[in-house]
Amino acid sequence: MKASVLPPMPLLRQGSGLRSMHLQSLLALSPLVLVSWIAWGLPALRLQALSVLAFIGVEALVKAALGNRQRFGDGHSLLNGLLLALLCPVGVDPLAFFGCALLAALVGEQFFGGMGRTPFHPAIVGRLLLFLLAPSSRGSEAGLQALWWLPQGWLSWPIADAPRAVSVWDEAWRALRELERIAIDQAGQIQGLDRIAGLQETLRLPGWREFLWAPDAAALGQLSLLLVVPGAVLLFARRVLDWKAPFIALLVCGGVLSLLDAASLVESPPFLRALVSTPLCLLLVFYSSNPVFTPMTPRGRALYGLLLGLCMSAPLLLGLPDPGLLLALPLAGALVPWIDYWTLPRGPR
Amino acid sequence: MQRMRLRRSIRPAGWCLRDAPPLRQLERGGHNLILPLRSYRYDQARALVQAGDEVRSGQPLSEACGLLSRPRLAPASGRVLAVENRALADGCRVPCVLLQVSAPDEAPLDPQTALSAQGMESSEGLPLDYELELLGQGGILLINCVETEFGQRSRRAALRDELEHPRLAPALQLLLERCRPASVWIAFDDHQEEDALALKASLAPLAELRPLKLSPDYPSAHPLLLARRLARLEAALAEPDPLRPLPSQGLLVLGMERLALLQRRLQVGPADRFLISWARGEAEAEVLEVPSGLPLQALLDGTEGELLLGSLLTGSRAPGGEMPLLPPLRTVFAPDPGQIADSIEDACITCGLCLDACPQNLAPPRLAHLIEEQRLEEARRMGLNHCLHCGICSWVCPSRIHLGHSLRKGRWLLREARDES
Repeated sequence: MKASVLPPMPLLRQGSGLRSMHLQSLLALSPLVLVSWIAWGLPALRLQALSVLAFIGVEALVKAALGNRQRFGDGHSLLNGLLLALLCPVGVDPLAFFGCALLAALVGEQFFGGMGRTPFHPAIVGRLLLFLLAPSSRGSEAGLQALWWLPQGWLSWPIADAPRAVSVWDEAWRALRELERIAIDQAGQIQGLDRIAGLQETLRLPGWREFLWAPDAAALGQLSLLLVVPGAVLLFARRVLDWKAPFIALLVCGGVLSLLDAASLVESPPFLRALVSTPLCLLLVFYSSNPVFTPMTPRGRALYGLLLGLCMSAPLLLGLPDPGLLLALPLAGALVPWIDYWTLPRGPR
Repeated sequence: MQRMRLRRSIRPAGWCLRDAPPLRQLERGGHNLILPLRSYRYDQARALVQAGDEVRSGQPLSEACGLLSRPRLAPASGRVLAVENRALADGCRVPCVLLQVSAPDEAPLDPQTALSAQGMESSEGLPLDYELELLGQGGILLINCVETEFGQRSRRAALRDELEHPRLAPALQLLLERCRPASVWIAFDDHQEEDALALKASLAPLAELRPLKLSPDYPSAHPLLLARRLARLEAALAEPDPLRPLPSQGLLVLGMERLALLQRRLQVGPADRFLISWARGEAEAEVLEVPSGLPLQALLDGTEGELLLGSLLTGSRAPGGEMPLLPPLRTVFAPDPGQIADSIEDACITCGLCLDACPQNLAPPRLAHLIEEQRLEEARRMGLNHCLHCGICSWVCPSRIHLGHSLRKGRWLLREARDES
């Protein structure tokens, strides 16, 4: 065969490389991380440090063993480590958690060949591993205990329920309630607020306080919806994350639950309450919208969002919010190669 | 003074070759001119001068030789220092005339007179534009609609803009008057049929346009490639080979007999000076008027860093300051060293940014994967031949993968495989 002489392409750099994308994601996560340190103190910091250490260590070892160039400098290991820590309760046994983080980095990412080749988010894999090793007795995860096949002793691993936030937040919570009470007292019989409260009760909407701070937050990343949403808006606006899949999943999931609930067919938890009391928002923003783990085309992402919405609806309907949501993402992720196969363009417009 | 901020392209917004006044003129300043006898568009011409010859401005330096070569006229008076091989922007070394310009410049020859003396004709002043390609007086006029405009707009919208361009009808009329083509063709592809037929109807009072619909696997709609294919067809018709059937795309066969005249009738004006846009790093771009054949070094005095000729996406690295500035060149860019990506940084993370950006709606990572695995036929079915080599996939890739390079290599391999078979 004749030798081909190809002129080089210019290959100029532009602004958004991998490092830039990951740094922006870390910036968006930083309020949540900082507040978790304030709320839970050193244990939260320890958990996040262990997770990051596990991800970076595994990647460094695997790359060194394979003779590949180290690439944790782009920040993806740091990001994945933080995301795993944010999904876990602060009272988790550090040793078990560290083991799960190591396994997640190894099985969930490096086993498939690294980022871009695995359809499963390694942080989700780590959280699932932790759940399978030792589900806590907390209400949201208790539903699956009936399905648990391991000896009873395994269930008594030292995985504690998430402790309530430290007194700073309790004080803040009490202050908010007091402010609200004072406002109502000063206005006398304020009909408007009563109406709002009645409407919330009728529609089973979460109260405004729950958007500010989830009083029974089980995971580090569940403290407040307001700590997640601004970061999400930033990332969507800068096109670091793609909004289509989470938006469609949110619509589908909310639509399915609301319809079935309105028709009184199924006694489902109210959708907005599920949004603030489970890691749903966090999962949607930082896990389901990541272009690395979603299909490559806009059409594929829309289809992925549809499937994800359906996958998320089922566990919420069955009363298994937290573990069900964690399973929904890998389930939908397993379909990504298939979606890509059918939606990748096959020719010019 | 008008300045334009560099944003993804160093062509200033709204800048038009014909309309924009130059911000300043770049003079020769003692530099010798380098005039290649071949370009990406035309085959090599035969030199009419040799080292030591004195030439006058407008005098032909070469004559057409072959089907698609063209004569080159001296843009200035001076003495020929050498006729030697020089590297051009695409990395190829081609014969060039090295001209030492005399000062003061002598009175230029009339191009028409100079060409007539050599049995050639001039088309100076004809509005030859990228939409219209004249393949020879008395021969074929091809209106090539299979063009696309890089950017967010769809090809269809870009084509509509071109068709509604007010210059098109007057240009066509002038060409018809001056060149009297035997046939006028309009080339389009599957997606442009409706628009092409609308254009045909609108230009019906001027000429009867023959539709030329290109098949989807046509490697390129560049007029030069069309003409090359026609030349092969002509050869096949002249000496039919029973073992090799004729190509299916013989739609221009009516004008084939005219193609034999092309070698003496491809015309070009002297193009002494032309406009380029020029930017340095992240600085503002400016429009310059430069003499044809001026070495790059004249532009780059006091500039450090690597040079790109052509647009940011489709250009190539200039190997040195001795590169000549020639009329097809639109832009010269001296990026900061940090702006150049030298190597592949990471593997594909399947983010899909290249798919969003591709003006041809291709799947560059999938194509690159197929090319890597030598599954060229599958890549062709996925539209490899429709790649414009605009390089936007390489540009947007956060992992800095050389996707554009892979696709270009794939097309070369595909062409070689086809030639071998």
